[in-house]
Amino acid sequence: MPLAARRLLRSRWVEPAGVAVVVGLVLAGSIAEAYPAHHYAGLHLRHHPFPALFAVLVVPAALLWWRRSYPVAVYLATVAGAAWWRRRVRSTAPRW
Amino acid sequence: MAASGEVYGAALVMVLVALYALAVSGQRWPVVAGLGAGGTLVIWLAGGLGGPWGWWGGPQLDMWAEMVAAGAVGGYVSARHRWAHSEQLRREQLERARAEEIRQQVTAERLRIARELHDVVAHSMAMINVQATAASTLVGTDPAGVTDSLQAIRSASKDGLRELRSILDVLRQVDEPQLAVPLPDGHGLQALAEAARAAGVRLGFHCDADLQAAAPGTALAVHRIVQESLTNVVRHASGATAEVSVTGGRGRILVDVVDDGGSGGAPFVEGTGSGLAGMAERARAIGGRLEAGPRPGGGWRVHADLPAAPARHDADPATPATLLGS
Repeated sequence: MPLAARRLLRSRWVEPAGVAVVVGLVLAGSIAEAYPAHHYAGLHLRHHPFPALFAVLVVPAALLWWRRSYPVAVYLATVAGAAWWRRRVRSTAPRW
Repeated sequence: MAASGEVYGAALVMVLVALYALAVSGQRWPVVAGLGAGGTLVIWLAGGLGGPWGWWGGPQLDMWAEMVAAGAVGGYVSARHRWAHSEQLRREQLERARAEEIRQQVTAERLRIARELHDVVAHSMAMINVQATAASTLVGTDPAGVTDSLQAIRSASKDGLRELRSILDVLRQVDEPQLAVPLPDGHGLQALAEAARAAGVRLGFHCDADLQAAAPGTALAVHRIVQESLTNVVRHASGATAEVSVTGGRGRILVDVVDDGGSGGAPFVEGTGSGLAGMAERARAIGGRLEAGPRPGGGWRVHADLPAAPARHDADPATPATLLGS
């Protein structure tokens, strides 16, 4: 691995940047999922999730900061957030 | 996934990252597999049963493969870290062992040089001191005796200088396996006996061992043990009667130096005991043994039992076999 790449990986900004990227992906992806631009095969959301519910995804994503100290607890939190989110979004969609 | 209208994809990103971190954290693989399978099942049930695609979950079946991949990659990275760590520990252990070995070799070499210097310098200086003392007492009464003592001092100092030069030459020949230094023989022992006699010791000498046929380390050890023993007689048993016997046979060489303790007092009273320790170390280094102690009727006895052939560990180039001054 080149020296510059190794220095970059050891930088103190790598950890917060990684967590920020994941949080951004989760937030942007879930919003895009909740407000799709196109609908296929008759799948339509009957209504959009309440905006505050996105925090249910963002909070466990932010908890990834502590994934090395508490790997099991952080993993369980993310599973709970994902399960809750899926169940919530599922209730907004009609039967296919 | 979002563009295609799949509403379940984004929430899995953080779960994949968390599962990867769980596997990397060094948990046992059954724990990782159990938690991974359990979490996947919970998410699948939450979104699958009763969802828009029915019980089988539709597109979210991909989740199983993604979770397995995240756990497997994390497990591989964790195993790689553990392997690298164990390799690092092994390298450090090897480096420590090597450093310790070098340290022991340096210590052994230092002790060997100290032993050689002690034997050479102590012997020569003891002879010179005794002869100088004799000369000082004979000044004005026995000019011929003074001349003899001065001649003995000259001879002892010359021998000592030659031995010191030989040791220094050997120390300088660090890269040469074969050293151009003569090994001891019966003539060297005879010279030691003559020097002791010149210092006032009534000495009997007997040698029937073939030192030139013996291992170099053994020949040197015999020479040094006789030299140190006679030095001790001169230093601590002035005017003593002593006997030196070097006999060989059955693959062994026996060295015996005994004295009756003398009667004229000891020219030297101080001593550190390093000479006796050095003799014992020499004997042990070539697989022999040495005993030294007072005799029941007075005096002192040194007995060494040495192998004529080189012992297994005598092959070490750092053994005293390479150092000699006679």
